[in-house]
Amino acid sequence: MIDRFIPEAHQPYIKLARDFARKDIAPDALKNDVPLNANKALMQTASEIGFLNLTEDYGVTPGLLAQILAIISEADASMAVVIFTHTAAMSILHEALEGPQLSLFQDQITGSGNLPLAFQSYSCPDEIDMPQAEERNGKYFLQGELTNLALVNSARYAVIPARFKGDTGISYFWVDLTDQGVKRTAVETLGVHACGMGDLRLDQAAATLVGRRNEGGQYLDGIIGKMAMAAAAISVGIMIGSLQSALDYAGQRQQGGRPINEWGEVQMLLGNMDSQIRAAESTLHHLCGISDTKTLDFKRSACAAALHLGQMACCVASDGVQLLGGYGYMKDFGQEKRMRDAVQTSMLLGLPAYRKTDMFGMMI
Amino acid sequence: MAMGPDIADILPPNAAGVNVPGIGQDIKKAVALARKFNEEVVKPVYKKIDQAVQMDHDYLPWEFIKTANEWGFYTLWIPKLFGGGGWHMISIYVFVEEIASCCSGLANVIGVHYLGMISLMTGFNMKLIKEVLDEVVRGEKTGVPCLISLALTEPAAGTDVEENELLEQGKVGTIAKRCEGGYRLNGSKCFISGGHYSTWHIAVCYEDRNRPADTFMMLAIRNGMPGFSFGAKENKMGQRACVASELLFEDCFVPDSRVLISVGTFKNTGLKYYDVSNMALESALGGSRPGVGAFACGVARGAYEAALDYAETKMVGGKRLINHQWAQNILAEMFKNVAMARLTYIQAAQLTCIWGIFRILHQTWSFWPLRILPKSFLAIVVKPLMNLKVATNMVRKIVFNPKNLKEYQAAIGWASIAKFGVSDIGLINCMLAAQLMGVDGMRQDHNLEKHLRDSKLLQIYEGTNQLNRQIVFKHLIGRDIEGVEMFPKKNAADSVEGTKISGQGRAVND
Repeated sequence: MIDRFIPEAHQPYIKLARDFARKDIAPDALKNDVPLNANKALMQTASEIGFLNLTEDYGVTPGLLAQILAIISEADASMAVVIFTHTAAMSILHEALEGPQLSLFQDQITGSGNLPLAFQSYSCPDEIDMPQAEERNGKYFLQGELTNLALVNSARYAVIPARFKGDTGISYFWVDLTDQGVKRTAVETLGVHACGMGDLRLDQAAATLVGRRNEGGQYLDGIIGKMAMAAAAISVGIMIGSLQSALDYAGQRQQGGRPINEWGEVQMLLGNMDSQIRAAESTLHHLCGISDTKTLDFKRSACAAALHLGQMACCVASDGVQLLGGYGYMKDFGQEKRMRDAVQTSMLLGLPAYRKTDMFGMMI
Repeated sequence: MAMGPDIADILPPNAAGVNVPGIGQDIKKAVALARKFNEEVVKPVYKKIDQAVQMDHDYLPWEFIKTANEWGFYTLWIPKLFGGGGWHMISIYVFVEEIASCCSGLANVIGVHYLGMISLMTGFNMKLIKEVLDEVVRGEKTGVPCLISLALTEPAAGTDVEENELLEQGKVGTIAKRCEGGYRLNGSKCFISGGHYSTWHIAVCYEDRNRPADTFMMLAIRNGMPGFSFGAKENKMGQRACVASELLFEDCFVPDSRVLISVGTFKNTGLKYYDVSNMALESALGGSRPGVGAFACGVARGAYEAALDYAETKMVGGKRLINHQWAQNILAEMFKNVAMARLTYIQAAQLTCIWGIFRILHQTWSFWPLRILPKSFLAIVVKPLMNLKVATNMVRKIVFNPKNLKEYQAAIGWASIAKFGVSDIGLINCMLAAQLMGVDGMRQDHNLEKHLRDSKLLQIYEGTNQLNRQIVFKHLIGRDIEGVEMFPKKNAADSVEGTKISGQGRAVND
């Protein structure tokens, strides 16, 4: 986000995010853009600087989370989705657990070398087939398949939804992905390659119930506003990166005997990108102002922003490619990656068309 | 008074070769053949080829190219006079739509060869056309594919080389210098579709880098000519099956016999060379732009079909996705987009056939003999006449006749409408499909992901959509308005003035 929107108290985090984006992420963003690639070293760095602990317990407000993700996404949306996914999983744990129970899981994360958690960042429960949960002798086991889990290939643990037979509600479970009942399959995707995505096949996989049975829906409801704002922020970051790249190119590339930024059509396209970004930033700024309240109004606004800014980012990133012409379509320039990432991140939190019908549900 | 789209531009034209018995049959045959080819050849390999290029962007799909050659796809649309199948040109557009509905990259592996053929025909050097197309036909018989590419884009000149008004101020770098018996060619071309697996390359170049529009040339370059070599293969987002090549020319000697079009070849014709070069370039691109529309229609259809398949089985909110009313309407919107896309590119293709680059094939005296007479008769009696200079001169007089300006403008303008209009629809349908399929649509094991990547290129090549909008303004809007200026250029005093678009419609510079 543009600095004028960032409160003084957040500046140290913002500086840290900018340094991380500039020094650690940006130089290798294109090199890391390989399907089925997960950059564990970079995830380790994110962990070391505290970016895998961006929850309220550590004093990170939803607004600050969004600002950090926008900055990181400007350099590479993949790393932003890594943090998004881990933070979503952690937030479910925070919604469900307190004190020693929570520490138990945190210790396991530390023991795994602080690898981020896998989570179903791209889906809402209504649109997926869920594994079935079973309790035997006080222990829990999962059977079935779960598709499209972000970070599933690099994570040691996952937080996943499942249903007990006969239940209508969902329950969340902690699963060790190295358990013998777990089989992971990596999936190649359109974008966000350095985060990685895959499917899980669970065959009587041992699991730990997170919080209470059937209350997964409430936990998810408790984090949806914050994560929707975070998704919107990722879209904003992609748009800013795309505009910057297009501006740089338009000042250097000559056609018709002059830099292309002197042509009216190019100016209009760049101006249109900028106007959309400024409107998106204002939306995000407004959300930051109301994000500490877990009201329905915040949730509705955040979900609307995620939907709208996600689609906006697809258009802006597409224009970003267009402004570079043939060069924009080549993998050497980063614009085509931003377009792929924009489309993929617009799917965060679930099927866009279905999420719109959810908005109606919140209205009434 | 300014008008909306002129109905005269799209009225069924009074020319041979449209709405006549047999054309519909050609279209139906082409669609049936493409569908068979999709089932037997394209579907089993297109994802593998896409992945192979993703892993190693130097990979070239030779097996596919050879198979397409065996199926006769590189000669079916060559006129019978030159030994080809002589299928009506309009049928190639629906043919590539079919292939593109599976994979627009592979559709382009076939389609871009015909852009090469169109470019070859542009200057109407009948002897040279015969020489090149004879080799293409031989290649089918011998099993060694002989394809043609158009080498137009340069590293520092993309949009510039596609529009004469910009070309005047552009920085071109592929220069042909006159020498004994021909020309020495230096420079490079980039983003050349199909370059690395083509045998012939129609290279656009210039005799004077400071006056490129007035010294425009097209040369036929064959693999193996000293001084010609291939450079890098580009690493693209999509349409990976169709290589984007760099072509390098270093003191490459091109004999006079390989000159398709140059100032010298139009001496004493009474034609202004600036207009000839403008028409030659616009006609070639005007022939291929409805093809881009056809590719895009195929992509739009592929995205629609992927979404429809998905909606039939996917459960959302406890019921099948296809039973949600909002999903039904998104599918209806996509279906409508495909229907409108097809109508648009077919309209443009028809105009290209009768008023554009294929006009010469649709004269009453040329259409019926080429359609009816057996290939052997044409080969023995008519084909040798192509070696005569009079044949070239006669054809050029018909093609470059200024009296046909309004019809020419309709063909060029509609080609651009098909290009930018339908390619926008291609991407729109991919995004609508993504709305329905969500993250499942982002997986490479679903079809949508590839269509999405592929579709973006359709808005860029054959002139960006922005340039194509300018062409529509120039040929179909500005022609009717006095005092309209386009493509402003800086003069010495750093003020800006544009090229006036006259009431007659021809761009004038003086």
